[in-house]
Amino acid sequence: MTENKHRESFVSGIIKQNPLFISMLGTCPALAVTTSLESAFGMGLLFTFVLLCSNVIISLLKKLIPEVVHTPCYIVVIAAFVTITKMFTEAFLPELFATLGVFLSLLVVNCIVLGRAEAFANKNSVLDSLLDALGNGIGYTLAICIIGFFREALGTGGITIGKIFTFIPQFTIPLLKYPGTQVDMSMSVFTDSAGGFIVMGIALAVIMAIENMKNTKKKVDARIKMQQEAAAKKLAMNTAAPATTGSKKEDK
Amino acid sequence: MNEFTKNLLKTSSVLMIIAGGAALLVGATNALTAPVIEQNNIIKEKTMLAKVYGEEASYLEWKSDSEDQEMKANGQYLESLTLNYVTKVWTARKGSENLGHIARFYGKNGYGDIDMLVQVGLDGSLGNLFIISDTMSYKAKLESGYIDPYNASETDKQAALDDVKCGATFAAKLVKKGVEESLMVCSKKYDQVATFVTLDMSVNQEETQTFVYTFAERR
Repeated sequence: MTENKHRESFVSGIIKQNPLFISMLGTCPALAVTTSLESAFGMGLLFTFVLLCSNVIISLLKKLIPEVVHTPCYIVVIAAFVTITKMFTEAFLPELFATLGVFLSLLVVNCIVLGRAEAFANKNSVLDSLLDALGNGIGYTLAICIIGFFREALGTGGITIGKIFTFIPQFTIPLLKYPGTQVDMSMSVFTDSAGGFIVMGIALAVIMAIENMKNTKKKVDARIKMQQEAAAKKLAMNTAAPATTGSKKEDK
Repeated sequence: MNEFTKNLLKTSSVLMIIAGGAALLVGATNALTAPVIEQNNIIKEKTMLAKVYGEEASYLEWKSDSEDQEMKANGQYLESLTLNYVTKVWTARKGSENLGHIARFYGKNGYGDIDMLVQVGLDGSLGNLFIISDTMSYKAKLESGYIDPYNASETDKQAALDDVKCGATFAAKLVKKGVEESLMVCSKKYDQVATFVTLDMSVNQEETQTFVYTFAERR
């Protein structure tokens, strides 16, 4: 039972309750920093770290923080971890720091971080809060990486790795643009803001279509099950009636 | 102690402890990372400087209390003025020959900041611009249209300094002001009285091939 709860806390944030595609939270950085797959991945990593640390600390302190001041306390905790993340990023990943710019600071007021603190971490155990943060972090990272992949592939014609994480040797995977040839099917609009909206809109449409298909299938399955139950009940009634008539004849 | 006072003390104590703990964590992280960040900035500056006049040149920083007599004699030192944008100036030297000057200017607006190097010739002429960092606005990148004119032909440079393009946005104006101040400081021609320095830009009519930037004379 407990194991199921832990698993549920972790898995729900990845797909079923994905913070970006299902709950529609954190859309501002999702549009701003997804101009490349690498920057999206970097943002996802830092977001997961901040969410993890803040959820754990808030869950640890949940009984100490009075109800009337829980919001400023959460903000202070989250802001501290965002500041720490900024400092480490500036020191050890300066390219990522320059790329993310102001959106790293905006993690303080990211609705997913504060939302999970309010909705989950202050009501559940430390382990569950940790798993919830991990699940939501992985789900958000996955979502923005999907958007980043399509934006970079469509906008620049390929995927470049090693530009931001400079410890990786830089290489480009050509997809729509092949160097040394005339082939260039990239559309620069996808690296602009308009492209972000387009890709995100299409991604949400696909997710909603899949959700609708699942819901329709559930409804159809439920109806079939109801019909089968009704038929079985009717059959049982018909079978019982002749048996009662036979016993009365024997008595005579 | 009544209930109200107890609640007040409890609430205040919890807030103080959490804020204190956060402050300690942030302070400790700063102590760990500040030297690394400073080292990164020095390396970045050296790497960018090497792009201006090449890796073989040496770059001598202008200091207000310079001990280098040759630099002082050549006027290659910072005077005690309030500058809006320029933060550092260097002279590039190869052996005993001065190649030119480089000014670093930094400017910010409500959304972000830009940090650039401006190449200035020994005669005060404008060279190219080199971006160290730009986290300008939410888009986090300077438009190429704000920089390209300064790195193009002399006609384009003069046109960029005469009038700001690109809808006269803050970023474009910021670059123009930074370039103007860099030219002034490297030429050592400025009005010492006012902190806001006024300029008088004109083309030398006799030398139509070369653009010469003239400034308000130093009082």
